Amino acid sequence: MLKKKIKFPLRYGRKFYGHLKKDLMLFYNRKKYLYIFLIFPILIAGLFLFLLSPTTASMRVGVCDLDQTPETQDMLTDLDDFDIVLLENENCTENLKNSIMEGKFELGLKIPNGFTENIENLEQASLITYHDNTDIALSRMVSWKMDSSLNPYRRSIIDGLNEELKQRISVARQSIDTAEQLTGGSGPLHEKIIEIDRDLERIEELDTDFIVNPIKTDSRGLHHELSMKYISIAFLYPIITLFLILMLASISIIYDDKTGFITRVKTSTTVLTYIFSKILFFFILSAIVFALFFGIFLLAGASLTFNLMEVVKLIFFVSITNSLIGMLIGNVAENEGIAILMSLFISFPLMLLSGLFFPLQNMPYIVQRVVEVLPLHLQIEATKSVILFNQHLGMTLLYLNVPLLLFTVYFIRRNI
Amino acid sequence: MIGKIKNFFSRNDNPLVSKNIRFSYADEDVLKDINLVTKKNKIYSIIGKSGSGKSTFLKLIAGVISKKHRGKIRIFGKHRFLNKNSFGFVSQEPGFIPDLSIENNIKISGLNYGISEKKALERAKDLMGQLKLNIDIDRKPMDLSGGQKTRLGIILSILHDPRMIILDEPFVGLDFKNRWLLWRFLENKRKEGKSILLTSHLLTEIQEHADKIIILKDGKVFFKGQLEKLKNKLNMNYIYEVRFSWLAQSKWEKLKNYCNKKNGVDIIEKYEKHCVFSLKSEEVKKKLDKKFKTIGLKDNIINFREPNLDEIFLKT
Repeated sequence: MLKKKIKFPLRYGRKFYGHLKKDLMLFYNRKKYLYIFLIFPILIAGLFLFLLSPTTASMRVGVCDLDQTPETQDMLTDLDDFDIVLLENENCTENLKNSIMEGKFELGLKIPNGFTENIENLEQASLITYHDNTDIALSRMVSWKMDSSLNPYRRSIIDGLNEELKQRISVARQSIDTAEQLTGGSGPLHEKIIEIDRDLERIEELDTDFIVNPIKTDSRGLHHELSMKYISIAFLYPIITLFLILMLASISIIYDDKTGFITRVKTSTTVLTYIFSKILFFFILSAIVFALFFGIFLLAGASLTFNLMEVVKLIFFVSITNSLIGMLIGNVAENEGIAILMSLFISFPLMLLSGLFFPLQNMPYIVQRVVEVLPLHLQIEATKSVILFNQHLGMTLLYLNVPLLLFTVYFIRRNI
Repeated sequence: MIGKIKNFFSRNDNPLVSKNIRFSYADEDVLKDINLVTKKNKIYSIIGKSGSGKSTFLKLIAGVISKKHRGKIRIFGKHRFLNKNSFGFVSQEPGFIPDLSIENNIKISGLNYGISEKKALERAKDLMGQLKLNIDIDRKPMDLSGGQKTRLGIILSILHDPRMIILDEPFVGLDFKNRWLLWRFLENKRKEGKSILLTSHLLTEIQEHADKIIILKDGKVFFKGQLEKLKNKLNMNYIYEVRFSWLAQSKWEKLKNYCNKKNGVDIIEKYEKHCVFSLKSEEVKKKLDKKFKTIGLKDNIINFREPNLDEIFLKT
């Protein structure tokens, strides 16, 4: 009786191990899958770290200085972040535009005639920048970079203006002192003069910072200890895992179906044993992806504190969700090519709606509510709480996985 | 309810009991009402025209098709889900993992049936000896010839030493030598006490080796039993092959009318002046010869003999 009791779980343990061993051996034997699987996360993590650490390489700027005053030359000298090339004045604007189109300059700057005169007359002066607006990322950066580079020059203009103002007010206040003495120290005229003197004193003490920017926004992240670079692991890990596991799980189901292995599964074990062994296999793969990612971020200097048990739970739930979705794709797709396309079809929109590339808060209310229940969004939120905030994993992913598991068992039993 | 539960768990040593099996693909009824009980230590062969539902029936028994069906299937008295290790299913596709070696295929298949890798290799070696499969197990299965693949597929499906072996068209693509070898193997398994259920189109070989024949027709069991019983059922104990010197349409109509009147004669096949009749007895042959003379047909007898399964099958 005891022997029989031991035999039963042993037999089922072997069946489970058989499926797992088959998938591991296949994965090792099909080297192309193995290499892509290992290289892909390393490549993405490396690229991201690189992208979030911009280099200080200067941007080439062509300049048409139509004003040609010592002030404009000073201004150009102050543009430290740019590699300035002055163009000839004849047909300057056209030449500048053509040079940008040809890729000689990333940015063009035109200083119109009368620029310095406008400033001297205390009138608004304008600069014109040219850039290739088909380069979306560069277009976004150009205006911001030019604005921030011009800030020291703007400040020096206002500083000079403020200094001049103070000098003039100082002279005016000296005259007021004389007038005050003439009033004899009393009477309505004396009071009025004192009032004017107080107003002038306030103007004399005016701070340049107030004139430049009367309201300063000091934006402080609640998690200032976390650098942007390391926060991205909470987004990248679920995105890359989703993408890889969706493809591998769907292909694996199609492979088993085409080779007739699934027939052997159905006649020897249960579909549930088969699905659970696949989940364990993809859990191992997800753990490898995590180790690769974390290793690279660690090498780049990341300092993150988390509970290892919670991380294991996180990887487990993430792998369950992704492998079940992948298996469902494998059920629907007729061949490996369609499975890969369908995996892309699902993972790409989820990636765009992950919050890594575009803020979700800008999206319509209904889209925001839909995004909240999307698997990738839930995985990102779970990863953030475990990896970045060292918190416990919530139950949301578990709630998502139960209906997914039921769907997968039903479809595999029905369709394959 | 209690009766149903008792019935569900009841011990029954019959390898297969199927009651009122109904199954349909989309709108087409493939199996309409299959009732079948098989006995131990026998080779049962299911025959039927293409599309008669032979493979579907085997796949339902083995659980390969899990779409909903009506009726009850019991394997050695238990639901097949609870008794998977008691049978081995050899499908038309061998079910190899092409990227793994034969050795690893054996190990994985063994594990799938819940036996250790070592035991699986031992059993595979023994079965390879029985099936005369001398191959290097480090090779990949796709390097094997068609006959070798079929034999390896059978080995992988019965590594767990099942009490019943179910084979779906195992002889397809095999030459005579390999077929002969496989029949010998199945007969040996029967001697070891195994029950065998297979489908095949090779009626002459089935006639020679199978203990019982099951004919599926229109989604139902048309016949189950031995060949002699089938001959009696069909009134078909002799085959009479005749070539007429001349067969006018009017005379052919008269002959057809005579055969339709249940005189123990049936027309099995006609090609120009060449006709094949099935006869109930030798007496019937004499009456038919008389009829030929009455109608005015001059005949040239080609053959008068016992029918083979191909001819019997034609009549079904």
